[in-house]
This record gives sequence, structure tokens and C-alpha cells, in this order.
Amino acid sequence: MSQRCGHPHRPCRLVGAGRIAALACLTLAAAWLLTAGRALAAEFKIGALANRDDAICREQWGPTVDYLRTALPGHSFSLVPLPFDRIIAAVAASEVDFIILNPSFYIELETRFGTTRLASSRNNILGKETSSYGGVVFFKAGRSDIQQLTDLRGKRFVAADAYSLGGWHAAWLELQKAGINPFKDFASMRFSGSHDAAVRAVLDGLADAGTVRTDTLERMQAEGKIDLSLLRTLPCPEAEPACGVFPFLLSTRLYPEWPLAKLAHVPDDAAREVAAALLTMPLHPAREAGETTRAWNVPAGYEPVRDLLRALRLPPFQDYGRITVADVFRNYWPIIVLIAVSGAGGLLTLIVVSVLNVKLKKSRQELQRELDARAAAEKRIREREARIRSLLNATTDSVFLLDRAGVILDLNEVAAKRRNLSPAELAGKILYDTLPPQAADARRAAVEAVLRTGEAAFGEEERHGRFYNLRIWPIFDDHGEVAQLASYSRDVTDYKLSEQSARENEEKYRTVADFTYDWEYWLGPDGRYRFVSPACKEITGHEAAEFFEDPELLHRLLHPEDRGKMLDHLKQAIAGAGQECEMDFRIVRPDGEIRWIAHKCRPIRRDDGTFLGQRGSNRDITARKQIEAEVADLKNLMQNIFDSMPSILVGVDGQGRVTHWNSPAAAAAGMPFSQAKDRPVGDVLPLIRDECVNIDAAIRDLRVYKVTKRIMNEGSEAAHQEITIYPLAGGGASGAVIRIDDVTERARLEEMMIQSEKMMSIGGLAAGMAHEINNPLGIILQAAQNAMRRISPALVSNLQTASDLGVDFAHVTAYLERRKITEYLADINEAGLRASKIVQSMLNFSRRSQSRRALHGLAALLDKTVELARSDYDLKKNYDIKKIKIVTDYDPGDPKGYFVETEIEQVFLNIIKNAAQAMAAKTYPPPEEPTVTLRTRRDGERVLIDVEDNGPGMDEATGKRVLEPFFTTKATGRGTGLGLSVTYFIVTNNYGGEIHIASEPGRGARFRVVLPLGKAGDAI
Amino acid sequence: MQSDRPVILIVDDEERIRAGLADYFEDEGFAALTAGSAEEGLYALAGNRVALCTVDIRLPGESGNQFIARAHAVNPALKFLIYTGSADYELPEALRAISMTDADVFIKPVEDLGLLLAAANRLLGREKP
Repeated sequence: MSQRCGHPHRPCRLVGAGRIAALACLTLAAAWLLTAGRALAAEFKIGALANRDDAICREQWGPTVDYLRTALPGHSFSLVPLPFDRIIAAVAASEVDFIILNPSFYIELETRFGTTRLASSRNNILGKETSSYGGVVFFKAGRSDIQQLTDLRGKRFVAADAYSLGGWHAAWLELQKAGINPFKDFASMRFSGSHDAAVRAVLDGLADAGTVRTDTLERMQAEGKIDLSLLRTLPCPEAEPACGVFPFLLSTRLYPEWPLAKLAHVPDDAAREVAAALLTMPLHPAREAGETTRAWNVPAGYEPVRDLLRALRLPPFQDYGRITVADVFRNYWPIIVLIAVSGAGGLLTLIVVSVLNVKLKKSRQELQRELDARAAAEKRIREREARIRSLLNATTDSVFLLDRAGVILDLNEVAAKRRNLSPAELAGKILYDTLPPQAADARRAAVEAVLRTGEAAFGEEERHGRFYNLRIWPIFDDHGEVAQLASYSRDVTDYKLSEQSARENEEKYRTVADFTYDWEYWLGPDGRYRFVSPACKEITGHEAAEFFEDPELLHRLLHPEDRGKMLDHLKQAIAGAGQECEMDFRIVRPDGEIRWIAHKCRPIRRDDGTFLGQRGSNRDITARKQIEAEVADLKNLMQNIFDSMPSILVGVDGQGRVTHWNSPAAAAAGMPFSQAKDRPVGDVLPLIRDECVNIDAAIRDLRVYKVTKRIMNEGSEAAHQEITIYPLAGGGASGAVIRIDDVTERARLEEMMIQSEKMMSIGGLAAGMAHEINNPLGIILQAAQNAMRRISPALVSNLQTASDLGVDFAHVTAYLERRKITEYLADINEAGLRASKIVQSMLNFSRRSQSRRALHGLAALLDKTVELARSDYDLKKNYDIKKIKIVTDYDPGDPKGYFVETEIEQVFLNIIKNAAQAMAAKTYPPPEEPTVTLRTRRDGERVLIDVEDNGPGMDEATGKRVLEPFFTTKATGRGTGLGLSVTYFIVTNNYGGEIHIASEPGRGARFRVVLPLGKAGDAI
Repeated sequence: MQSDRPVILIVDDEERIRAGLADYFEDEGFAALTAGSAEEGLYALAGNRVALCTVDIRLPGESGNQFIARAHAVNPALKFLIYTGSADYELPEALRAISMTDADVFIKPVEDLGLLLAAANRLLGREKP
């Protein structure tokens, strides 16, 4: 706090000083009487209290001085700014003639030096003229708890300055009158150093209420420094008559403004001239906001100020209510002097006698007092001696008092005991003689050093296996010489040993800790590391020191995906809430490498339960994690392979309980692995319930067991399953893998193969048979034809022969016909031809293409086949092929392949014939009509040709057999049963193609022929 | 008249084939000779003015193909029809070389003996009677 305005604080001013000042005052007054007339000197010095600084002082009062120079050209005036601590001295020494100062100070000078006011300042502030001021008490708007002065009790209060009339004293007086002692009853009382600062303190909430000089708030508002609406002020006290008239906010009584006073030495006429001039000085309006202009009024009565100072016991009334010698002397000195002079002679003799008597009595009393004091002192010394000795003996140090030569003057019990002697035995001996030689030399050297330097010496000593700390202190005589020495020796053996042990322990634990493979640490409850093992460098790339300096380093190292959980964990751990915990997390090293850390930690507590933080151990498990990831990948791959096998695969242990289970197994059993695990395989997979014995046997005998089962499924064709049980032989594990395959398709293919073989052998047989059959057929047909010719009248030789024999040819003919010979011959011919056809067809099975293949478009081939079908003798004879609607749906790309035209024609002719024959057996209600759809689609290097009819269709069994030779559903004699077989052989044998039949009874049939397109030069 | 009739030699190891065929061709105005083997056939050729042979392929001894080759060597003007029970018979290149074609090949039994006659007439340049 800086002092700016008002009275300086003078705490050391004593009553005696007041007396001296009063004497000085008298002396000065006398001196002025001797130098009367000097008042006419043409030069006047006007002192002014510079309560802030000289410049402000000149700004405030310069205009007045300038005005006086103008108004009184006969005199010269100069302004002398005086800091507060110079004012009294300057007035006392009459260094100035006039003085401008605040009312409090004025009261003091008036009281002490008879300084007389000539005029009082009147001011123009913010356009308002005032000649008095006081204080305003304010607080923040909205403080409903502050209504009146007494409400300020217990609040924090701020005032502008401890020495300011407006900024503190005025309010203090009001507080005092309200019964408040500001230094006791406020929660806090402080001085902000300036009016503006006090206002800000309240606005900033640093104080609940404050006081400043009146007009301060308005001025600050005018300067734009505050918003006055944010503040409330306490009202003007009722005792103040100017309430309601005073133009500024006011919470205290008003006091007159600063006076201009003349010092006692200034002659009255000069004072009058100056006073008159001052009163005529005009009060100019302010040139700028916040500027105060000043002029002068007739002197105001400063009694209110005097009352205030007195009430507050401020200078010069700090001793108000106490009668001091100075007061008495000041008030009654003429009487005192008179009495002293008149009574002096008579009293003198009496006084001398009295004095002598008094002196005698005093001497006696003093003697007795001295004796008493001595006895008391001796007692005190004895007691002190006892105290000191018991203090000396209370220590575990050995203590010697030595003279300069090392003679033991005194010692304590410890010192004696250490040497196994009594204190009496040691007293008077030389200390060095009680020590082993080496220790004695050292002690002597130390003592000599103390004697030489006059400073204490310290040292260590080892004797008889024990360690001592030594201190030797000099004890000086009155001349500053070392007269004696005090030698202390402390047994520090235990300390030394424990220190050594602690050091060894420390080293041991440090070695253990520093050379850990893992990154060990101890995190304190404050979140700072107590210990981090150097292994952290290897793992994190950061030194342990970095962790000590930056407790959050770890946080930043954490892999983003693990940061959340790890930070939560650490937060809990530091809060003491964590449990023993294990978790894995990742860090990202400065080089960008990611390391996996296995983290284990536990909260640590002292025996008394005090939480000491978290002890953690971080192990680099990156390699393990990589292996784990590889194992997981591998396991995943194995599982994927396992699952993607079409077979049902089930692993069982030695007891036949499920250990593995792939997706097909789950699908077949209708339960996931989680449900099947560890259950007997027969319970979860009914398919192999019957095989449990074989599983046991396979495991026991380490023998692969395999069986194919035909399983009848309701409503559908029989399925075939192959069950294979592979015992697990490796790795000491007992168990088996069971594999179940649906081999229905394979079984079907096998059947087809057998069928195919059968048909091939039929083909081969047919070819062999054909020649043998053809010759007799040739005989039959030739004979039949010859016979029919030779009974025909068309052959001339027949008539000739008949005539030669004398037989009427007509009769022969009639006879043959009547007896149906002709008919029989026709039958023979017909049957021979039929047999011949069968042989021809059979031969086609095995007949290789004899023609070269050529490139043919399927569309043209099929169209031609349709033409052939329409003109086919058999068809024409038995079915109305014209009635059948042929729909074509050819691949727009018209696939072309290398085919033998006649073969392909035969293939489809047979199929169309088959369709036509089948459709003849069905009645079509209009508008339906028998329809054959021919469709081609290219499929890569193959072409698919569908022949689809809307005939009666066929059941599955028929569908399977329809390609077999000699299989026919037609009435005997209506077909050979070889047509579709021929088709089949041509397609499969000659072209490597396929035929698929799809049909259902009532839904028609579709023959799909798949033919490879082949390539130029194909000739099988 | 007798001398005008073209002579046909029927070579076949099956006696009833030879006989039936001979009857047929005789009915159609041919003079028919028969032989049961290639050797017999060649013998028969030597003593007769044969115009046409019908030849079975599977014969005891030399095959029909060999017979044709030999017979052609003796008399290049001689015509041949093959009449065989071997359904998979294929005309050898050697016989194609002497202007024989698939039209000259008949697999037993022929549906209508008229087909054989037509072929014979075609080879001999005869008008159908």
C-alpha cells in the first residue's frame, strides 16, 4: 500500500516528542518577534501538500499561484510542493509563508503552530460547484443484505486510503457512530491505495462494500470507467444538514474543502491582501471531463474535522482523553512558572534535607535488596547448574569440557561410562590419554585447529570398532580468546551400520529393479512415477527419466484403440479404486513400431492401509501376440478348411465325445458346435448312432473303419452315405475323426457306369451277332421274295412252267390265295424285314462314325431333323406328326460345332419320335395342343439342346431307364426300344456329351443334350 | 437267246443264298453261276464269260475283297456287287480304286432284291426289262 494523501503515519511520536515540539514552537514564536518586519518582503512562498506528486500538486494549485501573481503584482509568489513528511518541518522552520493542505493536516498545524486559514477551496467538479466533501459508502447493486451501515458488520470492506479524509475517515466516523469498529467487526478491512482501486475492488467482488471520496463514483462514470448503475450507496446520515443539497452521492457528514492558511509569522496585512485576492479569483469551468477547477471561498469552519479527528483519535488527538505533561505545560505554563519562582527560595533548604534523608534510606534499602538478590541469584545459579548437568547427562553424546591443553575440566556421565571410569577419576586427566593413540592424535589435531582458528571443528573417529561423530566447540573468554573447549562425541555406530545396511539393501533392490526384463513401475497416488525400471527403454523407446518428468508420457504412447480402456484403468488405479488387474494393450513407439504389452498391476498399501499407488509390470509380448495372431489365423484357416469340406467332419475324443464339429456336421445335426461339444457323438448325430461300436473299435485298434450305407429317406430316393472313422494316432492323443459323405451321386454314377458297360457289351454282342443273323435273314427274305415272285402272274416263266405242267396258273393262284399261302409268304417277308431292322439298330450302337465331321450350325441340323421327322415312315404310319406343333427357340448366336450330320439328325430324330409317341397317348383339351420345343443355348465350348414336350411325362424310374436298350413302354411291335439308346450312345460315345432327362408325370419331359462343339479335325 | 443272257457269278459260302439269288437273277433274265468260295469263283470265271459278280466278303479261304482284286486283275471289265452280312463292312481303298462305290455295297438282308437287280443293271448298262 502506498501513501498518497492525508496524514503520514507517525507511530513513534511520543509524548516527550510533543514536549520538545512545544518548546520549539515557543522558541520560534520568540524568534518571530525579533524579526518582525520581514513580512514585508516582496517574496512569498506558498507550500502545498503534494499528497501524490509534485506535478499533480502544481496542476492543482499552480492556477492559484498564477492568479496571485497577477492579482498582486507587488509581491512575488512561488509554489513549494511539500510531501507530507516535510510539511511539519517546513512549517516549524517557517520555510514557507502560506500553506495549502487538507483539513486533517490543517487541524494539526493550527493546533500546534497557530497556522491560520485565509480561505477554503471551492471546486468545480463535473460542472458542479462544491466547497465541501465527504465519503460515499457503496456496494454492488443486488446486495439485498446491505441496507444500512450496521449491515456492513461481518462484511469485507475496502477504503481508498488509511489517511484519506473522504476516502476513509468520513466513513469511519459514521461506522463508529453506528457502533462498528472497522478493525474488529469487519470480516476484512483493507485499503486499496486509491479511490479508483477501491471502486474496482468492490465491482470485482474482492470486497463487499467500500468507501471513497464523494464525487469519485460520478467522476469515474464520466470517465467511462464504471457503470454507476451497478452500484448502490448508503444514504446520507440524518445528522448532515446538506443531505439532498449536495450534488454528489453522499453517505457521510460533509467536511470543508482544503484551506489555504498563513503561517504565524506572516504579517496580517500581507495575509489580508492575499486573502482578498483569493476571494476574487474566478472559478473557471472545467476544460475537460474529470478535470477539477478551483477557486477560493471565505474560510470555512473546520470544527467538524476537528471533531472527527478527535472522535477517531487521529493526530493530533491520538492522546485525546489522556492528560499529558505537555498538555498541562501547554495549558498552564504561566502559572507553573510563577509558582516555581515564588516558592523556590523557601523550599530549597527543605528539599536538600529531604533529599539527603531519602538518599540514606535508599542506600539501606538498596543494600538489603542487593543481599536478597545475591541469595536469589546464587540459588538460581545452583538450579541452573543442576539443570545443565542433567541436560548434559541426558544426552547420549559424551561431553568433555577441556582446557587448552586438553585437561578434562568437566565431563558428563556418558563420557565416563564410555571409558568405564567414574567422572571423578577422569576429571583432571588429559583427554588424549584416555584415547587410543590414533584417536588421540586426531583429537589433539582437532583441538589445535579450534585453538588456531577459533572455529568449531568436526570430525569422525573410529575406535574399538565403533564410530563416533566429533564436534569441538571453542569457548571464548572476555578477550575473545579461546579459553576452553567443549568436545562432543556421538556414537553413530548403529546409524553407520544401518546406513551401510540400507545402502546395501538399496543396492540390492536397485539391482533387482534396474535389471528386470520387464518394464516395472510404481505409480504414486499423485499420478507421478516413483520408480520406472530401465527396461522401459527397450520396450517403449523412452528412458525411465522421461516417464518421471512426464507422467502422461504413457498416455500418449498408448495405441488409439487401447487408450480409452487403459486410461480408465490408470485413473481408477491412481484413485486407489483399482483391483489387481491384468490386461493387454498396445503402445506405439517413437519409431512407429507397435508393441503389445501384457500389463499386470495391483494397488499397493502400507501396513496401516495408506494407499501408496499402483505397482505395475509391463511385459513386451509382441512376439507372443504375433505368434498368437498366426496361430489364430492358422486356426481360422483350419476351421475354414474344416468347415468348407462338403463332408460332415466330427472330431471325437477317446470316449467318443465331440471335440470338433464342422459346418456340415452342424447342419446335419441341427445344432451348433457349442451345443454338441463334449457330448457323445451318437447323441448329437443320429446318423452314426449305430456306429458307436465301430468308433470305439477304430480308436482302440487304431484301424480305419469305412462303411457305405444306404439310407432310405421318406418320400425321396434312397441316399447313400459313406462313413469313415480315422483313429487319431499322433501326439498321444486318443480319439478319432469321423467323416460322413453323401455318396448318393457317386453311387448313381457308379450305377450309370455299370449301365453303360452293360450297354456297351450289348453293343459289342450285337455287332457280333449281326453277321450271323444277317445271313439267315438274307436266306429268309430272298426265299420269301423268290416265292412270292414265282407265284405271281407277272413273271412270264411262271406261266410257262404252269403251262408245261398242264396246270392252269389261275387255279394255282386261286389255290394259293384261298389257302393263304400268299399271305404267309408276305408274313415271312414282313417278319424278316423287322428282324433285319432290329439288327441294323443294334449295329448302330457300336458303329463308329464313318464320315468325317464338318462344321454344322445346330439350328440347321435341328430344322432338318424336324423335316425328317415329318416324313418318317414310322411316324407317319403311327402318329399324326403334322398335328404336333414345333416351337423353336434357338440361340441367336447359332452355335456351330463339328458333327456328323446324320448322327446328330438321328440323335434328335429319336428324341422327337419318342416325344411324339408319348404325346399321342395324351388327350389335349383345346386350346392345348401337343407341342415340342427345340431350344439351343451355347454354354462355353458346349451347346445345350433341349427337346421339351408337353406330353404325359414319366415317373422317375421310367426316366432312369428310358435310355436302356430294349426298354419300351410301347406295345410290343410298336418300337424297338433302341432309339433312345442309340441316341445315348451317339451322344456319349461319339461326342463325349451328356443326356439329362427331366420329367414328372403329367408335366411333360425335357431331354437335354449337351454336346461339345469340338474343333476342326476332330474325328473319333 | 441263251448266249444273249448276261452271266452273273454268285460267290457266297451260304448255299441257300447262292441258290435263291441265282433263281432270282435267272428269273430276271440272267445266266447264273455260283461258287462257294473265292477259289471256286476264280475257277468259274476262267471257263465262263461272266459279266458281273455278287461277292460275299466273309468266305472260307480268301476273302471277297481278295477275290474281287484277283478277278479284276484277270478281267478288268468284270463288274462286282458286294452282298455281305457284315454290317460294318467298309469298302477298301483298293476296290474304290477300281471304280467301286458305296452304291455297289449291299448288306444282307436287302429289303427288296430289286435293289440288287437295279444295281446290276446299272453296272451292266442294261435297260430294266
